[in-house]
Amino acid sequence: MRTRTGEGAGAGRRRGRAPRLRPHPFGLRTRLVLAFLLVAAVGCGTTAALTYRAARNAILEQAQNTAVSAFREQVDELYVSLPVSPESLRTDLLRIARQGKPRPWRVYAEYGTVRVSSTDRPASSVITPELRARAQARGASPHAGFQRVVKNGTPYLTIAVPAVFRTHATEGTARPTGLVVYAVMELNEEEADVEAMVTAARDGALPALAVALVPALLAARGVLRPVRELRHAAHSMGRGRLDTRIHAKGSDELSDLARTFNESAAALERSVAELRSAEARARRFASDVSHELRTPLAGMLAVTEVLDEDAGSLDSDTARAVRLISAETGKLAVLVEDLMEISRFDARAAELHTDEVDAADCVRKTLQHRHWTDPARVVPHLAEGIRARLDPRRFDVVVANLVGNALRHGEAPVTVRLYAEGDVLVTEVSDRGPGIDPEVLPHVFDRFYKADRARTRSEGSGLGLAITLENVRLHGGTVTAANRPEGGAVFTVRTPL
Amino acid sequence: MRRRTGAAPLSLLSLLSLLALAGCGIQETDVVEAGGAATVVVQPVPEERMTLYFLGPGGGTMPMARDVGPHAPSPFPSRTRPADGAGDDRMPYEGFGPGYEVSTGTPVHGRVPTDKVLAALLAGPTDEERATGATTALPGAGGWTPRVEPDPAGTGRAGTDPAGSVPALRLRTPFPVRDLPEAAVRQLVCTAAHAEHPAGRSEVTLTGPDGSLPAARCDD
Repeated sequence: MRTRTGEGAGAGRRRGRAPRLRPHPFGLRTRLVLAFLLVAAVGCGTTAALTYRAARNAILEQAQNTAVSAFREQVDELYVSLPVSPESLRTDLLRIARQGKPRPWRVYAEYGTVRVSSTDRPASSVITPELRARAQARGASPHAGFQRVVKNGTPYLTIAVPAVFRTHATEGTARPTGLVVYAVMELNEEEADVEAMVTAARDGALPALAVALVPALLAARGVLRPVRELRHAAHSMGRGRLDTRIHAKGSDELSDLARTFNESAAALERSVAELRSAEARARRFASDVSHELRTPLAGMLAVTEVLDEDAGSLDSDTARAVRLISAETGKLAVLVEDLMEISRFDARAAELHTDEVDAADCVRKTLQHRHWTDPARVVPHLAEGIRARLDPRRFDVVVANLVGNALRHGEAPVTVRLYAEGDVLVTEVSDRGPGIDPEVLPHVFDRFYKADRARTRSEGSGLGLAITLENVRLHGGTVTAANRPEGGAVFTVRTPL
Repeated sequence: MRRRTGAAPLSLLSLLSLLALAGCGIQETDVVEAGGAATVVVQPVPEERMTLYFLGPGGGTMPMARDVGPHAPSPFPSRTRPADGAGDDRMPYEGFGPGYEVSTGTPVHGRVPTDKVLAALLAGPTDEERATGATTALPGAGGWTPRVEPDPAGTGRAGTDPAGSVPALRLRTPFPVRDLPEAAVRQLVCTAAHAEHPAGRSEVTLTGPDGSLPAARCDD
């Protein structure tokens, strides 16, 4: 049993113990890494975008709030007469323009049809009609307002503050004076800050992605290692090593899978072991039976020989019976011998005792021992001088079985050819008979296979070709049966030199 | 299957990047309201001025503060002053109609009488005021002056005022009031209310030859 497993494992080892993984362009590792990177990118992007938005809004809000409140304070300090005098208003605007917060601004004023500004142009093209309309809206309590405007790629903050006055020092209500003061401030610095944040977010996100690659690869490895182990284990089980187990640790799905694999492998090993022991018992039984039969048969053979010699002195009926018993006992002895031989093969107890011999000599000896020397019956065509490593006894059995089989089932003359083909020794036995039925051809080497079911008795034991096959296999060779085109069957044995 | 699972995050990613691209830089905004207006100080002080409500080019009120303090020049249009009036404390002023005299020399404490303020309003903006775009929607008084009297029926909204009493005025105008534009009514109401009291809370009823308008306040 163990030898068989070992042989299977050996065969597997010849095929390659750990075949390399085929490269998968969209394998588990790639997908895992991609998924990780995607998650990281989405996370980084979302975080960066949200942070950026919040920070940008904070920057802008701070600038706006500072500017609006500073501007309102500046306007609050104005002293005006009504109607507003453009000259003094211009002086005031120039003063306000210098005190811009957080940065200098340009100041414009609108009063009735009067347009005054701190610059050389009386009106600004940046201030939108909407802002103007909002600031000049009629109503008891006008409001200040601001608007961001982008013109020619430059962002501006425009602020409009309407001026009201109190009609009475203490209890008067605020009435609009009709004067609206505007400030226009460039947001260049804020824009630079915002762009710096975009750069920072990008520069931060790329290393984060690179860092995400490390856990991605680690996770991929963590998943792939058990998968690879499982694959090796399955491969090794397929090669017959049923005692393969996976080291299952942890409590995740993959270790569950490994445990299931181990349980299945153990169950499989158990059933295979049971099957094998049953098979072994059956073979041992056949071997024991034939062994037990040998001793009584030997006695019977001795008795029948004596009876054969004395048959002539018996009356004819008794003599025929005695000769029949004698012949059948001989056949039984052959059958028992064949059975023992084949059970040795089954038990892997058959051993090869090779020797470097002359192949042609071997065949010639076989034919001489069997008295197949009549050229009308057996025609040898033997290439001389071929040295081959053979077990002479087993090779003798092979040739004898094939020639005997050809003489029995085919027709003479039987041709035996021997030649070398490369480093293969070819032994060919062909007859002139009707050939083998194509339906029977695949089964000629089966044990006790009867080509003709009606013919229950044959001269052979029914094991000859099976024993031939086992012997050739033991030599590491092959034997095939075929029909020649010109008629007759041919058996070809190929053994390594 | 793989294509489908790959397409969803891909579209998400492109959407995100699109959002990020669209949100870059500084965006334009609508007009954002940012607190109240700035309160400037109007010279002269409330006690030494009278406030006339004219109209700006946009149709909004454009108040004019004329100095009526002791050292001020006449708050009234100079063309109405007679050239030989110097030294004379009291002079006839045809702009107010017969029976009216304006005391230009007396120091004004507190306020100018409401009817005089209204007479100045009807006389229209000065050249200086006109130069800034101030106009009036009122018709010329034609030498007639509005008469101001406390309104006996003008306590209609007194009960609802938490201050308890709302001064009520009745303004008799020499011209019809029913067809006056809304801006002209506002001019009259605001000027009268603020002339009566600087807080301007008075309720003013306009009455012309053709009838009366509902009582109004200067809080448009």
